[in-house]
Amino acid sequence: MNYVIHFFRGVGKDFIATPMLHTVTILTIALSLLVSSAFGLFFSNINQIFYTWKQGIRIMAYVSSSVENIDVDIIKNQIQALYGVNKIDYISSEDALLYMKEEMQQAEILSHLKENPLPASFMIYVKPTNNTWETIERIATQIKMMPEITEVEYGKGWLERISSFMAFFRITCIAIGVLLLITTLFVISNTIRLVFYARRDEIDVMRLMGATRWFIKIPFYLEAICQGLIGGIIGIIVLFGLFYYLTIYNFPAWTTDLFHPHFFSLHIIIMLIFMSMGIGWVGCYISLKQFIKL
Amino acid sequence: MWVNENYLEMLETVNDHIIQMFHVYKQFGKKDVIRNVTMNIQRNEFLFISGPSGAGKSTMLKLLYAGERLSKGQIIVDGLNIVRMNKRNIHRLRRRIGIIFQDFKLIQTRSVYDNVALVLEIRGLPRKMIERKVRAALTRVGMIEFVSAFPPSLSGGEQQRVAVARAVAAEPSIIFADEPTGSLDPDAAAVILSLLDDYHLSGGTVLFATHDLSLIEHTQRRVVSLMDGNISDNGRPPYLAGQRQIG
Repeated sequence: MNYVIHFFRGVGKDFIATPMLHTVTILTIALSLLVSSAFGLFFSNINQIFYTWKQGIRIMAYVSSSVENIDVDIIKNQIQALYGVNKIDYISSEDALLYMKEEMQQAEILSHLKENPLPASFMIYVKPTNNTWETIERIATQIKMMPEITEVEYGKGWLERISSFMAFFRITCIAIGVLLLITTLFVISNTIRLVFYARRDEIDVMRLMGATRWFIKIPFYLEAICQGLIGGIIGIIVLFGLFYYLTIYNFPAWTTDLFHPHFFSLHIIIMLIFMSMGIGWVGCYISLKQFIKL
Repeated sequence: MWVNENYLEMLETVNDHIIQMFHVYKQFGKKDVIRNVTMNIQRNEFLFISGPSGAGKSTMLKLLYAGERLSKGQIIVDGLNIVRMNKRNIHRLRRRIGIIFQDFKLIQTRSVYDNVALVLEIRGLPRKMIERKVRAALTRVGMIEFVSAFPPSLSGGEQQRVAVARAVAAEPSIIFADEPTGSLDPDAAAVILSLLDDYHLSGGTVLFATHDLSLIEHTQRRVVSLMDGNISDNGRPPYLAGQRQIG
């Protein structure tokens, strides 16, 4: 307990003695956490949009025009039997034309048609739990093999493009996060090194007076962890401020029925702050490993 | 059975002395700085180690407080065999001793109080006890009124008195003083000597390394003279030959 009081007093005194050095380190940690968390938050929100969009994905199966009388129930049952299918709606060619007329602004053009060019179709909804790229593709392939079906559409091109964009964005986020992590570690270990040099005489005296290596090291670790804690809290507060400003205060229209911008949950915030403290610890470890070989 | 002669010699004397040195050598490169020094120091002895600059006085003290590793030989300080001690355990030795340096080695950014308190914090004493011991030590050296001052604002003599307070605060069994009066005027040097005398009279052992003959020419204490890393006379140095020796 006596040691704990001594260590915390030492850290407090050191913060007061070299405020500039510690402020720069704390701000660097805060900035690194802010930038990488901002990417993470952006990714998380984009991912939500993608997820919502994916939830609405339907497979359209068009009935071949050569088939005159189809038994809708039989085909429905065949499709329903496929793994992952949630619901099926049948749209007759008449319904399709009606729907098209409602949607089009110049619907009178359609009234000049001699015969209905639109095929009958099945609209297939995939179960949300099975709404993966592989499942959709598999269901579509199986439906296409049915003799009554001539064509299947499920937004393959879009889905592929957005999936690859998301994969690229995820990799970019991770790369930026790793780069910032390395930069932060470098800054922290350099700060500890500078503090170590500034206190070299003091450390020599402490060693001569009988201090153990841990008695010397612990204040440095505590200092780095405190820097991580303060930097982490500042980073999160600033990020929340920016998020609030952009989404709620300044651009409330961003919130729609399909998309609600969300901030990190409490447990992710706590995890980020712990991560920030961990970065401080590792930065200190790297520095002291090189310098304190007592 | 093969038995090391040094070991037998060591056993004969192990219980009578607080410091034992057996055929100690220290080399820097190819140069012998300490050569075949064998010496015993009794508990509660005040010993002067004299000799000209470069004779090996500081190196000998460094060997005793494990500031340097010896090249050959054995050293036992207050029951601890320094040769067998690894770097992680040096603090066990350092907590039994107090060290005073010519350049004081006070932490310039800490107050007088904090400088003295440091040795007690290192030992993990409770704050109340630290405060009591620091005040007692500073009162003993006459520096209690400077408790909140910082070293740069003190004279050399005052700084060395603080260093003495720091050395005695934890009540060590031995004090190593490496040229403690080397940078002080005669009056300040006399004060430091008398403070170490007080510590000695209260039961402590003092090893006082100095090249200042004025400090030792009238002393009744044992003086060991070093010349080129070797003890030239395990008693009075040649330039004080003829005077009475005690110890």
